[in-house]
Amino acid sequence: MAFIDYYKILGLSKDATEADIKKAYRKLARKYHPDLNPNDKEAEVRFKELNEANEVLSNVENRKKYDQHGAEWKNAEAYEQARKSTQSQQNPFGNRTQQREGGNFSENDYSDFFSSMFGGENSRSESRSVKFKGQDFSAILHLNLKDVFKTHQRTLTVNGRNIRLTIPAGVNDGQIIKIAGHGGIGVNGGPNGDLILTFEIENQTQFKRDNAHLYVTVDLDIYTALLGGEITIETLDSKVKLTVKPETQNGTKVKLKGKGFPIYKKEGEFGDLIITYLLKIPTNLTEKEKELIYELTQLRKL
Amino acid sequence: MTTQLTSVAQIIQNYQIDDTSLYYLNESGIIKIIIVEQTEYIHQDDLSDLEKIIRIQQELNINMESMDIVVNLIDKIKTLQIENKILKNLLSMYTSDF
Repeated sequence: MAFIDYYKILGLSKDATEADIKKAYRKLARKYHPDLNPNDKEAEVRFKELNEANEVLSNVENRKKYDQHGAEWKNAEAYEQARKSTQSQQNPFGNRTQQREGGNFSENDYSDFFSSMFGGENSRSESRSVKFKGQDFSAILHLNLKDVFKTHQRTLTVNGRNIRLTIPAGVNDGQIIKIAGHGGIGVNGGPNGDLILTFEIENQTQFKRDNAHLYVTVDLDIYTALLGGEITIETLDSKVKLTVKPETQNGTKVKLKGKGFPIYKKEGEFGDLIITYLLKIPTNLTEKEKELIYELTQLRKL
Repeated sequence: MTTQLTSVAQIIQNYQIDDTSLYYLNESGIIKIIIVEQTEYIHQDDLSDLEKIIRIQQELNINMESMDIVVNLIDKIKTLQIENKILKNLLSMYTSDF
């Protein structure tokens, strides 16, 4: 467990006055408040640190204890033992949580350092005792591209509750859906919170996705490109035979209608698959091949 | 429908917010007060926004008059984050081969 320099977190020296602490905390809280920094995990962490620092330094007794023992933190074992015995008796901050942008902010999410030094106390003043709507739960659901090719069912466990979800095919990376009423339970008969689900879609396939359209580069040997022919290519879920036109140029794009990705919430409708041909030049030519190619170049010169 | 509505009176009591602030937020268009059979309500979809505003106001000492600006800027950040994500996804189509 590492020592935490609360003065440093607030940008103060050890002789800071109460007013200095208040001022520094307010200034930094305005900068890092999670509601003002949506989806910014770093700001959320900084805000927790700030709160912790403020909790210790703005309270006379806590500050005194911290100043006295904080510097000798290398002798932390005694505190560690004290912490364990205290924690077994009571949970210092209960399970109060507040809904924040970008994630659930747990007020009991203090550092080990804080818990070991102040774990048995609850010096925090309740800034807002009223709560009405249940808290919103935020969760990130990691899925693979192939998972969202078809509509499927999935059971999520959020705060100990199982929620069965239908995930529609074609969900996009970064898409956010709100599942009403699946958050925390409302207080005083108020409505339940919502479950805010963000999809993170990982793509480990050769296809590149732009909404419902898929893009892929297909290698084509120059002889098929020159004379035309038939090739078989893989789509995301099957194989397709393609006719290559004679004299196909490098970089030629072919659109296969309806062979792309499912369109979100439009069952049975698909985007397109766009193929780009990449002509492959043969290597390790034999003498015979060189001879024939030379002959071809001569024919072109005529 | 009323199951998704919470009366303004109940909100004032539960959130300990004064009615002037609530009406100011309504006038600014940040939340929407709905009147059903002469009773004022707020839809539960607006409650999360209201909670956020109360947190910002109480924890950062920001007055209600400034809240309009703060809420608009947060919305702009969110829009830009979504745009940024879309652009990054598009960019990855051209860069991941290298």
